[in-house]
Amino acid sequence: MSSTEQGTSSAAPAEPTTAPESAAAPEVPESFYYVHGKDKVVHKVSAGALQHSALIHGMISNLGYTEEQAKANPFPFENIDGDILQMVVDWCNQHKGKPTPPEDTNLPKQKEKLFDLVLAVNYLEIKELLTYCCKQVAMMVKGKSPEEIREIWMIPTDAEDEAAEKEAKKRAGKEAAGETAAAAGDAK
Amino acid sequence: MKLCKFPYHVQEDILDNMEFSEIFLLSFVSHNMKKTIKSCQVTRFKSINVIMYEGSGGDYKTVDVHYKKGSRSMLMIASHRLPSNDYFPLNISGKIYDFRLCDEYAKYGSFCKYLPHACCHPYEDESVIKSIHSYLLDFFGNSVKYHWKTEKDNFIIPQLPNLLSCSIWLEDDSDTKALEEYFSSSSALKSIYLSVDEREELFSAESKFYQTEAIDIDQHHMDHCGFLSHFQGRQIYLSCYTCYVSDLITFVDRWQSEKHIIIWNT
Repeated sequence: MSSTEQGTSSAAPAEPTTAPESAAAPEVPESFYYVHGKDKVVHKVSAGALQHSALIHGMISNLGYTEEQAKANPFPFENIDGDILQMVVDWCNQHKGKPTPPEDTNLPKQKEKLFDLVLAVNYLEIKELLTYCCKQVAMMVKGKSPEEIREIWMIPTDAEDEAAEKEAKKRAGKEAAGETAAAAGDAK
Repeated sequence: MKLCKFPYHVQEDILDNMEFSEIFLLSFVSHNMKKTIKSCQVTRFKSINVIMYEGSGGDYKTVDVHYKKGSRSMLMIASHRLPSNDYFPLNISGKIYDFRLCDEYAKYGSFCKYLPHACCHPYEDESVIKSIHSYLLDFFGNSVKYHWKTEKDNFIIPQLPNLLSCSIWLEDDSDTKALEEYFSSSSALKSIYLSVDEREELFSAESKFYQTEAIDIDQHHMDHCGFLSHFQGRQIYLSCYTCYVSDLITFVDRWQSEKHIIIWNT
């Protein structure tokens, strides 16, 4: 397993405390977890940063892993491209323990990257980032005609939808016929 | 980027971030897209209080959506055509009209930078409004109310289903013939706001204007006008600075036996 710990450098330092020293609770060392995407590159991320993801937060909340156990068991997200997971990890690190701003201008402008990011963020259940992404997707069609919108969002024409529907019906019919034939074969 | 590959709630979130004018344009992309919008935007469409057609003089009209949290312009209808290559055709209720995206309203602080602009010849004005209205009825559903706002000399109100109210600003020399014709040929409206200068008789005594359920008259000086003597609706709201007390007494006498609402604001 290849490993990179680029995420650690951007991990935020311990939160400064404003409470008087005598009343300050003993500082709990921050725990870290490890995730990897399709490219198997492992990212070390703090539990604080991972709180943005409802999916991962739910997974880790009851694990009680030691540092060694966490390192040995990175969470695999095989459905997410490595560069997309990197973007997500960076975003979680940047916004760790901070209120999210009303807008995020650092999202990818290329539509395919944004598309993959939306799917990844939706899968990982990162609500705030998903909201930013959806805003960005909506922005893509500002000032565009219906034909231009179709091209940008790859929306099929009515004819294409009809053809796809016919094809699906045909396939379903064939599958049903196959099942009937198989059932008849079994009966024999 | 394939929008249809996104989960339903993501598509919903994307549509929530779009202006009404953008949603309107998106609905023309395909029948399936229109269906998706209708199902994803149920809550948003339910929040619409009224869709207002506003022709404030000149050769254009705006179609604005008023909803719980505010209002937004959705499109414009212009009775002129600019020398531009940016037009694109849209099939509105079976008729093809040319549209362009207009950004000249951005400088006036409009929330929507690009507004769809239907362009037609002056003689097509009424038919384009009817087509657009029919499209909107199908798109937003029958529960949405429509309001017509008109002033100066632009008093032609088309016969539109679900048009429940109108606001009219008349000037001294305004010709009310078109209005009278509209009232006589259409079913009575729910409410009318009328701002009028000093005139004695605006409409004939038999005019269906007086059958409107609720009328709101704003007139500086009420001088033996027909509003009080001919009104047959349920609610009348009068705002004026001066009037004849004898008119009031006659009016109150006539209505005494009936349970009408009388609000007199002087």
